[in-house]
Amino acid sequence: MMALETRALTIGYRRRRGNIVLARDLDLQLGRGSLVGILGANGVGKSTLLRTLACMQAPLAGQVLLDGEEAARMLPLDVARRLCIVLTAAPQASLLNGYALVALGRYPHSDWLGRLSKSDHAQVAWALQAVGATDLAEQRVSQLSDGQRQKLMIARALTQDCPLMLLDEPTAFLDYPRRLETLRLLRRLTRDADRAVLVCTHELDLALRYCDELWLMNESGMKVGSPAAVLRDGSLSETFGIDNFSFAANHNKNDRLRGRSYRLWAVQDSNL
Amino acid sequence: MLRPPRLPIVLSAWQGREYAGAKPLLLVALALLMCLLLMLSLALGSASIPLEQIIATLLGGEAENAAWTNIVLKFRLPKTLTAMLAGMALGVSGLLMQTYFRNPLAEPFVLGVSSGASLGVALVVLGAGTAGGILLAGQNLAGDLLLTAAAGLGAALTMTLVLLVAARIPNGVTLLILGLMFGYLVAALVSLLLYFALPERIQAYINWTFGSFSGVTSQQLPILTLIVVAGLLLAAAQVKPLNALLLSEDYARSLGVPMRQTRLGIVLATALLVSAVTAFCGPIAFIGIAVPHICRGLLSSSDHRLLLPGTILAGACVALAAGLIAELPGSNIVLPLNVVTALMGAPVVMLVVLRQARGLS
Repeated sequence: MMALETRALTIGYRRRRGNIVLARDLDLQLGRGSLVGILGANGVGKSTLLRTLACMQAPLAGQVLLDGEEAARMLPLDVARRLCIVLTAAPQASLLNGYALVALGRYPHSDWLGRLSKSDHAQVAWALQAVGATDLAEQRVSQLSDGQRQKLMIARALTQDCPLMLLDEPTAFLDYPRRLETLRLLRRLTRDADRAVLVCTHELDLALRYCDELWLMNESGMKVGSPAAVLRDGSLSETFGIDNFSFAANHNKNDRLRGRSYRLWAVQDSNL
Repeated sequence: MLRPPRLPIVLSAWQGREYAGAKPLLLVALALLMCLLLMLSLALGSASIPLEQIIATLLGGEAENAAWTNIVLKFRLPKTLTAMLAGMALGVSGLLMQTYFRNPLAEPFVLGVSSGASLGVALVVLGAGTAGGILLAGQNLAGDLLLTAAAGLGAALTMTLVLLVAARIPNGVTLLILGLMFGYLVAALVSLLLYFALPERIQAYINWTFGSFSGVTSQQLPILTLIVVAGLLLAAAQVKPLNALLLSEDYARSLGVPMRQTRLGIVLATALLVSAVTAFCGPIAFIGIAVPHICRGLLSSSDHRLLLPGTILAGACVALAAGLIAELPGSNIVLPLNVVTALMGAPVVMLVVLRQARGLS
């Protein structure tokens, strides 16, 4: 069964004078153990798609299925047990320490006061170790860097214990090594913890390198394919639709990620 | 769904870590301080009464001096209990507003409930015909009751309006701006009434805006207690969603917080607490904005499981202390309550905020 599935999903915004449609009739599937990247130019509707999939926004038409069940018919708590999110900006949450922040992920599983049971503590401790943030447990969240905070937010999402994780440009405020680290971490989670991870990103090269599948969004619709395939058939260049630019892939046999050895080598500008 | 944690984890090393750095024991200190202030508030005033006499009176006995029994039971006990209830209510509603709007400047009055109350009072005091004027001129019980009723009615009407709006709009910022604008609107109407009112009526209105804990009789006290306890219980039921709201409304929703219900719960609790206090004590400034900051500073935590009991205790302490100082024990002068709360509270908040800023940098 797919962690996430959409049927004839049309996304956009309701307006009094006609709806604004960003994409229509999407039939998408995302299974456990795979890392999928959503790529597309600014304003094409990546975040809207993500918000619709996360049930934070109603679709214009069609359905979102989580574990085979229709999300629109679920209670907020049932949705929270099936999917978790990480947003672009990590909150400042003034006086919480790292541990308390991550423990908030246990919300859908804890009692009315949010008290933590032994298994909750085990989950939190595990998540902190999984993202390599154990040393942040007792530090004030407000004193951490953006990268550290985002790590904690990913750990928080992990403790929510859901099969599906949705991330909206989680690396936007991070420096390059931290971006690399984040994508690597997400990939590791799909492999080690059997999660389905969907990440909306502008990091073309990282997405090409680490994702199992890419969902390319442009005005004419959605194109789905493996990184190698979308590079080969030119749909990547088409998605970003800039004249005089081309993407070139480099095939490196020694790349550590075997079978994923296509990566963006250079963006070539023929005007230079 | 997640495979069980695979690394060996010593749980004892992790349990309770969510409170690391916080100081929950200070809650006990706050409770003790509240008891101390409670006794002082009964003992001190224009006449000081020995502590053992007060305890004897409270236990149902008679004090050596019959006048003392009378003073304690008829005047100081209702006043003290009113101060405690008002402090608790304002502290907690301030906390609810600051967390919900994620704004450190939010206070109980941002929803416009107390503006509604002040309009009710202004209409009665300034706008009413001679009947109202005669009632008030005598400063008698009926006049007091009329004021309480007018304030209560104004607050309740505003509360209904705010709840209707809160059920329909999707986010906090809009609610905040609407509440503020409503406040300005009402302030303008009150100014208009003041502009055309007779000077002695204006004085009566201004007296109400000073705030006071001594207007509540022992007959009215159960009503105030009932509403405040209901409001506090409703607030306590929101503790878990409030913690999730520390992240953001989007994150809270993704954690399964039913946002509409939670928003209505928070707004209803605040409106109940604020309208009860404003109706019985007038618009008491400052406690609502100051107490949550003092609590966060003292307990060094944002966790509402600590902050809610903290603001209840600290709110009571601050209100009792303000009431005590306003009486100027040993003298016959009584200062306006709002003068004392701000004079006393502003420096404390400045200190707390500066200390936090230093700690963070």
